[in-house]
Parts: sequence; C-alpha cells; structure tokens
Amino acid sequence: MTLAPYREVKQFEPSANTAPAWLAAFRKNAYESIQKNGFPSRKQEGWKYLNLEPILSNVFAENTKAEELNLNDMLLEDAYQVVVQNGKINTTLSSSDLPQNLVVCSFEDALKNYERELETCINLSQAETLNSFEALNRVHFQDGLFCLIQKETKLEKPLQILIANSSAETDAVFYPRLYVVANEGSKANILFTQVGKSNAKTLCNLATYLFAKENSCLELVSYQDETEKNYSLANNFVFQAAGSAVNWTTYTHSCNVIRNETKVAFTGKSASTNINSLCLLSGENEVYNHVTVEHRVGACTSQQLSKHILNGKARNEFNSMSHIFEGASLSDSQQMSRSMLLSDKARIFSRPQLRVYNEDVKAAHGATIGQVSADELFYLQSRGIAKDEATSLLVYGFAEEVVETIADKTMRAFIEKHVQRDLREVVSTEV
Amino acid sequence: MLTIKNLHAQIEENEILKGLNLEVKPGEVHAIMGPNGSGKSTLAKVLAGDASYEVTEGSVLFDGKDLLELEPEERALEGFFMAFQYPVEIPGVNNASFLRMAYNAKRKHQGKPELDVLDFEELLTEKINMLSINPAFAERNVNHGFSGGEKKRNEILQMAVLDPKIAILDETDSGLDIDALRIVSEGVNKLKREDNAVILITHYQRLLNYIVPDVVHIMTNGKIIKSGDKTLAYELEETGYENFITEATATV
Repeated sequence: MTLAPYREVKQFEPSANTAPAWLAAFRKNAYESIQKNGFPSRKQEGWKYLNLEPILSNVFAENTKAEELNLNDMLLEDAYQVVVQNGKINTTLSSSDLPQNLVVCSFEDALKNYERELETCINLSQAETLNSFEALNRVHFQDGLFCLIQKETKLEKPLQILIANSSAETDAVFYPRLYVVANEGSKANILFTQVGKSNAKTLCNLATYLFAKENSCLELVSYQDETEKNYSLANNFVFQAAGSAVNWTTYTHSCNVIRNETKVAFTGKSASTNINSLCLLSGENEVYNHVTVEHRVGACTSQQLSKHILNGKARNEFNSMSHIFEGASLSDSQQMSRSMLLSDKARIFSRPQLRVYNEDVKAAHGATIGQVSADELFYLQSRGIAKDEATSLLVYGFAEEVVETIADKTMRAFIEKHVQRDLREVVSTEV
Repeated sequence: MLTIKNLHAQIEENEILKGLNLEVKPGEVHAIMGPNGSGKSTLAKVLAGDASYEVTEGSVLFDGKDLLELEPEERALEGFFMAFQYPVEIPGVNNASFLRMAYNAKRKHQGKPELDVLDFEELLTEKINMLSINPAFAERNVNHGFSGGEKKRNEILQMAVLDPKIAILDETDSGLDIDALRIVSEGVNKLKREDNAVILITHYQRLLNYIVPDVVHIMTNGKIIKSGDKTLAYELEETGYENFITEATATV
C-alpha cells in the first residue's frame, strides 16, 4: 500500500474487486461521503477536544507483520473465543467447538453461506454513517467478523470476541469490522476485548454493528486496554427491534487516545437499553466517549451511567445525547455522569444532553464531579489502612456501581479483576 | 502507656488545646467530661492524627513512641483506636471486607500471616455474637444508611476486631437509647483487660454507671482542670461545670 500521511488515505478509492455489487456500491458510497465531508475538525462539537493531528500526520501501513500474541491474561474462562487479529479472524487462536446455533465466521465465508443476512445488515447500516472515520472503515476493511445467534437460542457460555492489533515494526492501521445479529428471542452474553501490543504506533479503526431483533436479549461488555502507542477510533451501532433488551458496559483503562462513538436506535417499541461506562485513566491517557440514543419509536427505556476516575494529566470526555423523536410517547431516558478527579491536572468534559420532541415522556440527566473525600480517607486510615490502599478502596467503591450492572457472573468477575488490578496502578501513579 | 504533656493544638489559627496533660496506665479506664467546646473531641482527633489540626507545642508518648510523628494508619497499627463521635459513611465499601483489610494490615504489621476470607469470617462472627450485634452488619456498606445507634455499635465492633492497646471513645454514648447504651457498654467492658486502656469522652454521668472509670477528668478551655475518682462524676452531675470552672480560675 501507499505510504503517505494518514490524511491522504481518504484519496484512496475502493479497489475494484470481485465482491458482490451491493458491497461495491456500499464502499463507493462511503468513499463519496468522505470526499464530500473530509475529516472531522475541532470546529465540530463532537470533535472539539480531540487533537487529530498526531493521527492524520502519521504514516500508517495497511498490511503489517503481526507480533506473536500472548492473550492468556485476557482470556475469559469458560467461554467461546474468537480472535480478530489485525482485522481478520485468526482461526488457530479461536475456539473450534462453537454450538450449532451460533455462527461465527469471516465475511468471506458469510458471503458464501449467509449472503442474504450480511447484505441485510450492510444495507441497514448504509444510512447510518457516523463520521468519516467510520466511512473509511467501509472503504478499507479487508475482512471482518460475522456473528449470527439463531432464533430462540440461549447461549450457555459467554462469547468472547478479542480484537487484537499488533505490528512488529511498522506503524500500522487496522479496520476491524464486526456484525453481530441476535435473532428473534435469542439471548447471549458477549465480551469484547480490545487489546493492543506493539512496538510501533497503531491505529485501530473499529466498526461494530449490533442487531438486536424482536425480544432478543444481549448483555455486552467491552474491555479496552491498549498500550501507550495505540490510537483507537471505535464506532458502534446498535439497532434494537421491539421488545429487545441490551445491556452494554464498557470499561476503558489505558490507551494513548481512544474515541468511542456509540449510537443506539430504537426501531421497535418496548425495547430497553443500558449503556454504562467506566473509565480509569492516568498519565496522559485521553478517552472521548460519545453516546447517542435515538428514541425513534415510543415506549422504550434508555439508561446511561458513566463514571470517570482520572489521575495524572488524563483527559476524558463524556458527551451523550438522548434524542426523543416526535411521536415517541412513553419514552423513558436517564443519563448520569459521575467523575472523580485524583489530581489537579486531570480534566473531565461532561455533557449529558437531551433533545425532546414529544410530550408525555420521562427524561432526566445529571453530572457530578468530585474528589476522594478527606473524611472518608481519614476514617479508613485511622483503622490502619495505608493511604494508597484506602484511596483504592474508596475509588473502587465509587467504580463498583458500574461493575455491578454486569449481570453475567463470569464477565463481571473478569472486569472486576481487571479494575482491581488497574486501580492500584492508577491510584499510586505520581503526577 | 500514654503520656500527654503540655499539648497545644489549633485549627485554622484557632487554638483549641491549650497545654493539656494526661497520663494513662495499662488497665485503667479514664473518663473526660467537660462542657461543649472545651476541646474534648479535638483531643481525640489530634491523637488519631486528623490532619485538619496542627499541633503547635507539647508531646505525646504512646508506648515509648512519639505518637505525633506517626501517620494516622501507623498509629492504628501501633494499637491506638478512636471511636468517632460521627462515624463516616462509606458507600460502596463492604463492612466485612473493610474490617478484614484493617485486621490484616495489623497482622502484617505484627509480622503475622494474614487471615483469608473464611478464617476472618469466623473471627468476625465471634465478635459479632460477643457484642450482640445484628449479623447483617457485616454485609452492609460501612456505616451507610446505619442509624445513629448502629453506627456507634459498628465502632465498637471495629474496636473488638482490631483489639487496640488504647481506645478513645468520643461521645460513643450520645444519641444512644438505654438498650443501645447498655449493649455498647457491655461490649467495652468485655474488651477491657489488664493490658489495655480506655478513655471515655462523655457528657453524661449515665455512661459511667455502666463503665466504671478509675479516673475522672474535668476538661474546660483546652485543659484538664481537675482529676479525681469516680465520685467526681457524681459531684459534677449535681453541681454542674460552673463551680469547677470558677474554682479552677480561682486557684490560677
């Protein structure tokens, strides 16, 4: 591939390939939208705190030699595993004993066996471009993961999808693309684990699409922990049909720069969603979380709880919009952002917002920012608990509310273990 | 065990303790009584290491160590304990885990192996039964949503688990009904031994019917102005502080 600063990448047209016509059209449309819109800039509300220059001016290769992965610490016990390495499924590292009613395959295989299903997904996502980075993923993805949970299936074990990016030497960009379809009445627990290990700088341009069909129930947990050399721009879409329930908890620890943009659209009544997040950051980590929930139809419930714990010079943004459409009666939307600052130099930008175009709805939002309470700290110290440990205990007490929203025991224990471990490091980090 | 000499302490330039002297020996129970604002609670907090107070003069020796040089947690590890007048609520921190953490910190300090969850549970149950405390206490968050009486009982439970050499109880009796007062007092009596000591800070002689002090001190304006045996408390109950303050001023 051409080696040029990343800002040039938008010039690269989708290569002519043998893909079906609908896929070629999908890529071409995306390409045209990038030509029209260009890259986002700080003049745009959703991008005002993030400096894109280090990304846009860097040269990233598209094909690179992957590093050997040691995922031991990241594996969820007693779960089905799929590893998406540098944008492609690594079959050697993935489980081979998936149950029959769970399909997990590459796009290449999906085009052979599930073309109609994949096409439906792609067509549905067509109109939902979030930003030019997401469009870039459409143009450049080479392969991806297609996951189909068959009708009425109740998955016994959680499915862990590991998104691992690594590059041995050259700076590199990856475009993992994931489609997860939970068919009518199905129930599944999925853990997304985004990890990076590199000697070189990497950019993960990730796009995830979730389709929760009628009366399906999805519990999703995301764990993001990448090295200091990684950039991650993740765009997530959730389409929720009538009666579906999605509970999505994201835990973000360390990374150079992470921007997550999540859009939930209710397309059928009586659906519910919980979008919760926990950020535990130190050093110069930057995490920008953007959430939009669209109550396109009535009688749906959305709840957001976001907690941020920041030390050092960490920067964190929580920008959330709950949009209740005209006619979406009996919608219920709650947003809460709580932040705890452990240093004078850490910064949080918290902005829960509402756009309400219908009466007869419930909508609430709030934000708090505080510090570790000196009284609580003294109380614990006076019982013999050292200051760092007492601080960890109080910080965990603050974070726990988010961890507890994870209903699946295995996934909750996994996140709890990582939060406990990361906490000590974050709390004791000297500025 | 505890020797306080000429202790002066202030908060935001405002001097509260003005040359306090006190000597406590192993096996003794001391009661400190005094009107509001006399500095009783300040004394407790200064001894526990509350950073809002600044010690400007004087010394405190605890088992031969300079107490004032130690961090709050080090004081606790050495065997000093304060029962808070207003125990702090800590939502999100489980009482049992908190107690185990504190207990193990002390074990570690003493060079003993730490107790695992099950062994500690056994120890905690024993203390809970001894103090006639509701076992549900252990599973709740530290003082969170506790009633005033429950908070005070939780302080005594912590004292029982940590087994301090010296405990200073800051108005542990205030806000308690008669039954709670009896339970708390019985708890303190059960924990009392020849090798430890207790300082009770109280407004009321009533507590001293349950926990009999060896020495009673009257504190006013940042100093102890009179000490005596338990009869001093009865005398005080009858005559009020006024006489003692006048008497003390006259002798100066």
